[in-house]
Amino acid sequence: MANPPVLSIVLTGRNDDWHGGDFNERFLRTLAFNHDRLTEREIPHEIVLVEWNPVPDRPPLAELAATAFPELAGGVLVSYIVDRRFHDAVTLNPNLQYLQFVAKNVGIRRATGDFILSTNADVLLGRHVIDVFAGRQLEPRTVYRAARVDIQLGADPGHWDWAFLEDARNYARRPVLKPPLYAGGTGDFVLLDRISMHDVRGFNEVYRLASVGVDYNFLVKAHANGLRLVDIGGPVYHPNHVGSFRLSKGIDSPERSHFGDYRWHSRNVIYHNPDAWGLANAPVHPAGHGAFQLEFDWSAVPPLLDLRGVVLPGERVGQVRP
Amino acid sequence: MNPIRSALRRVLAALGLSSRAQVENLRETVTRAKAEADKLKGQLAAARADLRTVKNEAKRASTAHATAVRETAEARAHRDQLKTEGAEWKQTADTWKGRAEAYRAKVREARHQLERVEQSTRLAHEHLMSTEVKLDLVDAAVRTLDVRTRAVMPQGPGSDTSSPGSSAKNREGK
Repeated sequence: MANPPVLSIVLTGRNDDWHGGDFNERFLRTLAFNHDRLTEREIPHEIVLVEWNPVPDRPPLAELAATAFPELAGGVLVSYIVDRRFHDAVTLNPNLQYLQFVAKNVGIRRATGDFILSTNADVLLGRHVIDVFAGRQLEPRTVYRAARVDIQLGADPGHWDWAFLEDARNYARRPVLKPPLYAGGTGDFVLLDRISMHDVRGFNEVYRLASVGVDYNFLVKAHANGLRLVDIGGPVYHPNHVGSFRLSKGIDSPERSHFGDYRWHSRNVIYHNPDAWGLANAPVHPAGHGAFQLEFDWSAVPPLLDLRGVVLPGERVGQVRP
Repeated sequence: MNPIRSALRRVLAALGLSSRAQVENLRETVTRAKAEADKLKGQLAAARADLRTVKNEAKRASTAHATAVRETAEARAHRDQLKTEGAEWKQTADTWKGRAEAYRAKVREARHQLERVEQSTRLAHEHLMSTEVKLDLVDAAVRTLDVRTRAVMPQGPGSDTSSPGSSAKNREGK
C-alpha cells in the first residue's frame, strides 16, 4: 500500500468451526460486508487477521480468506498465522484453547493504520460507524465504543443489508452504553489511535487465565491512563450463534469454562504488559496467500509469571469505582 | 287715663284695696310665677338627675381608670418578666446553638474519618484483589510448570540421569 491506511481492523479466528459450526462462513461474509461498506465510502483500510493456535491438518483461515478474496490477500487483508507452540507456551489455563486478546495484540502490534479497531470476526459495522470513519471525525487519545446489537438466532436471511440490520424486529438485544467506561460487548468494538494503543500496550497479556473480562479490563486501564472514552454514536451488529459467550455462560462452570473464569477481578486490577507485548520478537516469514507466519521463538514468549505487571489503576486507587 | 279713675284708685289704694283689674292682673302674674317656678323646679330636678348621672359616669370612669392603671402596671410587670425570661431563653438558645455547632463539628469530623476509613477499606480491598490476581497467576504458573515437568520427565524425578540431583545411579548401585 502506498500510504498507511486510515483504519486497521484487527480480528482473530481459526479454522475450527468452534464458534458455532458456521464460523468460517460468517467470518467470510462479515469480512466482505465490512470491506464493501468501507470501500463504498472510500475509506482506506486494512484488515489484519490473526490466526491463533491454528488447527493442525486443516487449511488456515487465512488461506480460506485469501482463496475467497484473492483481490484482498496481501493488500487490504493481511494475515498472521501464529505458530501453535506460542499458545502452549503462553497459556496459563489448560481449559483455554484460544487466547483471543493475546492474538489481537499480535495484530495490534503490527497494524499500520492511524486508527486501530479491535473487533471480532463476525461483527458487522453499522451505518453510523461507517459515516464517522468517512467523515474523518476520529480524535486521538479517545477510545471509541459502539453498542453491539445482537441479531436473533436464526434470523439471518443469508444476505445482510442495512434494511435487515436496522430492522429492530430482528434484534435479540439492543444495549445502551453508559459512561464512564461504555462497557458491554467491548471486545466487539474498541477503536483507538495507533499511538495511544501502543502507549497502553494493547490488551492484558499478563493475566492469561481467561479470555473474558480482558476487554473490560482494557477500558479500566484506558480510563486510568487518562484516555477519553466515548460512545461513537451508532451500533455494530452481531448475529447470535450457538457457542457465543453470552449464550453459553450459564452452561459451563466458571472453573472449567473454555472462556476461563469470568469472575476474575477484571474491573479493578489492571496490567502493564512487557515491552515485547504482542509477540513483538517473534520472527515473521511469508507463508503464502498474502499471509505471514510467526515462527516460534522463546525470546518472543512473555514471562510465565510477571507479578510486577499486575497493578492497580493508579490515578483512582482507593477512589470510588466508576 | 281718666282722672276720676285715677283718683278713685288712689283712694282705694289708701284703704288698702285694689281694683278688680289689678287683682286679676296680679292673679295672672302669680299664676305665671307659679308656672315659672314649676318649670324651674322641673329643670332643677332634671339638672339633679343629670348631676347624678354625671357623678355615676365619673365614678365608673374613675373605676375604669383605676383598673386600667392596675392592668397597665400588671402588663408592665409581665413585660418585664417576659424580658427577663426572653434573655434567659436567648442564653439557653445560645448554649444549644453552641452545642449544636460542636456536634456538627463532631459529625463533620466523624464523616471525614468515615471517608478516610472507606477509602482505606477500598484501597485494602483493591490490594486484596490485586493479591488474589497475583495468587491466581502464581497458582497457574506453578500448575503450568508442573504439567511441563511431568511432560518432560514422564518417568518421574530421577529418571533422567542427566538431571542435577538424580539419585537413580546411587539407588541402583551402578
